[in-house]
Amino acid sequence: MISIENISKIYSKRYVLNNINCKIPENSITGIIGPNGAGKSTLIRIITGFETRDTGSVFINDKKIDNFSQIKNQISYMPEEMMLYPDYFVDEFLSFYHAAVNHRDDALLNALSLKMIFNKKIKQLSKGWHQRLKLYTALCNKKHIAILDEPFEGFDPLQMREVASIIRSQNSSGRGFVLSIHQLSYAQKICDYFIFLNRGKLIAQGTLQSLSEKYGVSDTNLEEILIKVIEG
Amino acid sequence: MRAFFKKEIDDFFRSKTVILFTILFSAVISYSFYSAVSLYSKASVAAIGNPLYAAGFEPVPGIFVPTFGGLFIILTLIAPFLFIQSISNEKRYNTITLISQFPMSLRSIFGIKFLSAVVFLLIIIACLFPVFIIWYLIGGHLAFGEILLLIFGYILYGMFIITISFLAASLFSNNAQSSMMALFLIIFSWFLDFGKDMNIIPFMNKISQWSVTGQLKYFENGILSVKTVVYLVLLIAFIAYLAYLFFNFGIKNRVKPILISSIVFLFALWLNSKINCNFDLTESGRNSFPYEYTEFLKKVPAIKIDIYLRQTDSRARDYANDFLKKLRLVKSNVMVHYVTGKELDKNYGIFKYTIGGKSETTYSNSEEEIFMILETLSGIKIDKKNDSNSFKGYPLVAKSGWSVYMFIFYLIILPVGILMLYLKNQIIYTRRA
Repeated sequence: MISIENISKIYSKRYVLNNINCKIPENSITGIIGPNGAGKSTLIRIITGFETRDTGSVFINDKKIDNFSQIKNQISYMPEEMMLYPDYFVDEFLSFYHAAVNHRDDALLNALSLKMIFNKKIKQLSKGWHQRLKLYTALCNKKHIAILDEPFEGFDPLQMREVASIIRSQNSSGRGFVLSIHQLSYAQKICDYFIFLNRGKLIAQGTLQSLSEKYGVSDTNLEEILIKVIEG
Repeated sequence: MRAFFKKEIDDFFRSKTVILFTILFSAVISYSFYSAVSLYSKASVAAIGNPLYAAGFEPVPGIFVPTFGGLFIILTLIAPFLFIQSISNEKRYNTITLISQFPMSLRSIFGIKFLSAVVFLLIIIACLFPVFIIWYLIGGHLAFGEILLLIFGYILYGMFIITISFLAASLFSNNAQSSMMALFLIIFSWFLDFGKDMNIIPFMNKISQWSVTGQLKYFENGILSVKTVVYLVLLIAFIAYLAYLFFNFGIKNRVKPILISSIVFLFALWLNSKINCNFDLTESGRNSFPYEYTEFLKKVPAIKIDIYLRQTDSRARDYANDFLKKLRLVKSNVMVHYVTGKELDKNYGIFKYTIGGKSETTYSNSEEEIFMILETLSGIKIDKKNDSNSFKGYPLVAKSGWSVYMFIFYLIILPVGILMLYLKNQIIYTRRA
């Protein structure tokens, strides 16, 4: 379980995150939802240790996290932006990656159909293939939490379904997920816990059921709930 | 770790900059070496059969220092662009996010990057070894002690360039800004030396003693100065630590570690300033007084020298570059004072020597006369029985056609070899596609 207590981040005298307190349940698929500029990516980067915080603490399984090495042993992170060497061939990159992390997952390689692009240079890949390769690096390890920033970006609906099924299957094997998603329909399908952010503030959190009840939305529609929450 | 290290080395040869680097390196080194051999050879014609003139012919200052001068230009002006890429490309492609999740600490990642840059530097320096082989093949003499010292000095200088490049790349996320910052810092060191020679600002003379390019001259002159080596090692370690502090994105407050490391660095520098342990590795002993003078100076107590000359005066400069330089190699307890004000105008041109309260003055800066004064003041006699062996020199008139070897290696084999290494990936890709 990840606990976030009083996290704030200020850029140029403006709060990007303002006193965030939340708990991410263990072995859940948690969606961080919010409009553009809500602070989703900043919160993720703070949890993963890639961004420093101005105030507050992060706890993983009730243990306070003080340095990056404590985080990286437990959490794998896929950023929204690029994170691959453009001049490498895919197989060359993967050989290096497997040797560096001392792990290889052929089932995941097949599930993501990456063998089809082994002979291509990374800089020649389409956004979708690029995203698959990033996903592979985030999931090809034994860390028990994966934090993925916009994992469905660049995929068509069919590919989204494939990726969702990989996430579900890994979740059922005991890995927790935190996803930053702006496609609400997909978030509703895949996530079992939600954290709503707006303008750097946490405005709601809970399961779909609990949020529906709290905001009086009868048909458990995530979009409806979000609108109600934002409107206050 | 091994996979990451291999990737780092591969990346140096994957960059397009390495081709430009090799072409420039080959051109500069081959031209420097060719010019040095030609000049040495022409001058040697008159020295053969003239022992006195021949004694001035030493291959290291005559051939290898000018050739390594080419390496100096390459390391100073071109190499930073290559070394900067090691860190700035990770930021540019955000691969820092990927590698920092590998099962090794950020300190190890930084260490491996530094180590691979040093290996690349050693490869660059190894590309100068054919110069020694060619020189030997055409009948030249190799003074191993001096050559090893020269190589060692350039390895330290190259490591300084690496740390500066890493610091600049860690400070900025943009390649252009990092390159400008690195060049500014490196050229500043060069400028300090230039300023000292021109005597632009007196304050500059004081800080110029810390200039890295100035320290490199010890290695070029065949002087193994422990103080210089320790200074460079401390400087490299300090800058590397600063670079690491900025490379590690997880550090929230950098002020405290910067302050502590600066204090430790300055304290270590102060301790180092107490060291005076120098070895003249030249075969001719050109940096030292004759053996009997050196032995005499070791017995003499502290010497105070008052110089009634402006520091810009050519006599003062000659005195500092010749007599004082040799004296400081032997004695740490020498106090030199440049007199100013009315006293200077009244006694202009005088050198005043004081030992144990007794003083004597002279207008001469000849070694023989100075030692006569020091003998009188100290009451110790110079034991002139120990005659040192006189150095005969190594003049060499190179055979015509020798430059073909150099042309084949530097202008054909080396650039083509690097180009092939670079194209290897492209060729594989084309074949696969």
